[in-house]
Amino acid sequence: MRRREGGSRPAAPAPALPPSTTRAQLVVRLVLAAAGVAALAVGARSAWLHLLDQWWPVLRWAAGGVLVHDLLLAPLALLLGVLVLRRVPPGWRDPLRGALLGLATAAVLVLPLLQSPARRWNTTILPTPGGVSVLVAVLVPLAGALIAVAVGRRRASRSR
Amino acid sequence: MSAARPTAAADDAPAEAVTAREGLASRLGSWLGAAFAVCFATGLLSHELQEPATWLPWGPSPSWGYRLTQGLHVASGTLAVPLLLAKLHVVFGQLFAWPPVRGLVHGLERLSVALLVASSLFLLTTGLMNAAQWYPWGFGFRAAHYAVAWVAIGSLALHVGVKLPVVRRALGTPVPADRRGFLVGVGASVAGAALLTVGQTVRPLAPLAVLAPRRPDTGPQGLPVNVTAVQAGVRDSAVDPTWRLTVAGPSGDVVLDRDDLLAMAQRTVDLPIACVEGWSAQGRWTGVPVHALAALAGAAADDDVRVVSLQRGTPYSVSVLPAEFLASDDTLLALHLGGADLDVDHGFPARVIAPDRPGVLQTKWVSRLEVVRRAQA
Repeated sequence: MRRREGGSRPAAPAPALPPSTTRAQLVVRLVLAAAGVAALAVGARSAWLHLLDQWWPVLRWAAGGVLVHDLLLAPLALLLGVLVLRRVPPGWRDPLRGALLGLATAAVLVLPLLQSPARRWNTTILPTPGGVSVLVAVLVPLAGALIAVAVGRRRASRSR
Repeated sequence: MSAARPTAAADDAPAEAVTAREGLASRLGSWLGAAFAVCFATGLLSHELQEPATWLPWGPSPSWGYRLTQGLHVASGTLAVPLLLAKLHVVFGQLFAWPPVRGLVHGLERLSVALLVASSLFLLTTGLMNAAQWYPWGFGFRAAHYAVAWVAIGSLALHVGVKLPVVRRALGTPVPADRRGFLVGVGASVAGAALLTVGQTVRPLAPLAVLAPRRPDTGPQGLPVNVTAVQAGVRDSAVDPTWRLTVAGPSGDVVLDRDDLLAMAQRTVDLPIACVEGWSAQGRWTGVPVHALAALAGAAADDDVRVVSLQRGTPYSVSVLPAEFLASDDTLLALHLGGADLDVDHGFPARVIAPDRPGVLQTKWVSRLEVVRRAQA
C-alpha cells in the first residue's frame, strides 16, 4: 500500500443513503429522462433538416474530439501522474496537478488563437501576439502552482 | 492531471474509493452541468434572435441584454473547458469497466454518456474556434453547433436522470481531505481561464484578456470589427460618392444622399455592439432614428423595416427591424461613431445600431430600407 499524502485518510462517516427511488426522486428522474429524449429528438431533427449533406465532417469532428481525449490527452495525464506526480514531495502534488489542468486548459484556449488565419484579413481579431499568449498560458499555471506550494508550506509550518 | 488518485484509491479501499470518485465526479458534474445550462440557454436565445421570425418576445430594453447573455454564453463555455477536462479525468477509469454492457438499460446509459462526451467536446472546441474565426471543417458552424447543443443538453439530462441517486448521495458526503486539493486546482483553473478571457467583454479586464480572440478597445475608432469592408466585398461601393439610401414604403420610394441624412435631426446614443462570439464594446453613435426615415415612406407604428446592405451573398446582408425596435428613438441609422464619420469597416456610409440586438443584425453599409407590413412579413 502506498503512503498517502497527509497520513491516513480521515474515516468518512457512513453516509445516510437516501433511497434511490423515493417517489419525488423517481418523478424527477422520469422528467429528466423524458426531457433528455425530447431534446435529443430536437437535435436529430435539426441535424436531419440542416446537416444531412454535412453529416460526415460533423461526425468526424465529434468522434475526433473523443479520440484525441481518450487516446492522447487522458493517457498523457496518466503518464504524467505516474512519472512526475508520484516522484515529487507530497506538498507539490496537488499544486502540480492543478498546474497541469491549467496548462491543458490554456492549451485548448490558445490553439485557436495560434492557428486561426483570421488576423491576415482582420486586424481587430487576435490582437495579442501569439508568443505573449503562449508565455502567459505557460507561466500563469506554473506561478499558481508555486504560490500554492508556498501557501501549503506556510500553513504546515504554522500548524507545527 | 493524473490518475494517481483513482489508481491509488483502488489499491487500498475500493468501497471508499468509489465514494471519493463519486464525490469528485458529482461536484465537477454539478458545476459543469450549471455551465452547460447557462451556455445552452444563452446560445438558444441568440440562435432564435437571429431567425427571421422569432417567437421570442425580445425588445430594445435593456440595451445590454444581448451583451450580457452572449458574454455569459462564451464565458460559461470557456469555463467549462477545465471542468470538462477534470471531470473526464476523474471518470476516465469507468471507460474500461467490465463487462462493458450489462444489459439494455446499461447499454443505453453508456450510449448517452458517449453522446454527452462527444457532443461536449465538439461544442467547446468548435465554439472556441468560431470565436477565433478558424473554420477548418466542412460544415456550417451555426447549424452544427445548434443541433449538437440539443444532443448535448439531451444526453446531459439523461445522464443526470440516471445518476441522480448517486449524485445526491455523493453531494451529501464530504470530500475526503486528501481530494480537496484537486478541487482547489480545478477552481484555480476556472478562475484563471475567466481572468484571462472575460476582458473581451468586461472592459476593465481588457488588458488581461491575452487568451481571448478580441479586445473591446482594438479596432478602427476603438471598436472591433467582425467583417471588414474588404471581406464583405464593399470596399469600393461603400465609399462611392454616388451612394444613395432608398426608403421604400406604402407612400412610395424616398431617395436620400448622405448630406440629406446629415441634414435631418440627429440623435446621439451610447450603445453596445455585442457578438455571439463573446466580445462586446460600447460606442457613441450618432445618426437618424430609423422610425423617422420609415415615416418618410409612410410607415405605420406597427410596421417592421427590412434593412438591405450593399453586401451581397450572405444571410446577414438583409435583416429585419421589428416594430418594437423601431419604436425606440435609440434605434438609429448611424452616420458617426465617436464624433467622426463611420470607418468603412464599421459600415460607412450608414449602418444600423439598435439596443439589445445581435451584432450580426446591426447591418452595415445600408443601401435600402423597406417598410414591411406584419401580414406581408
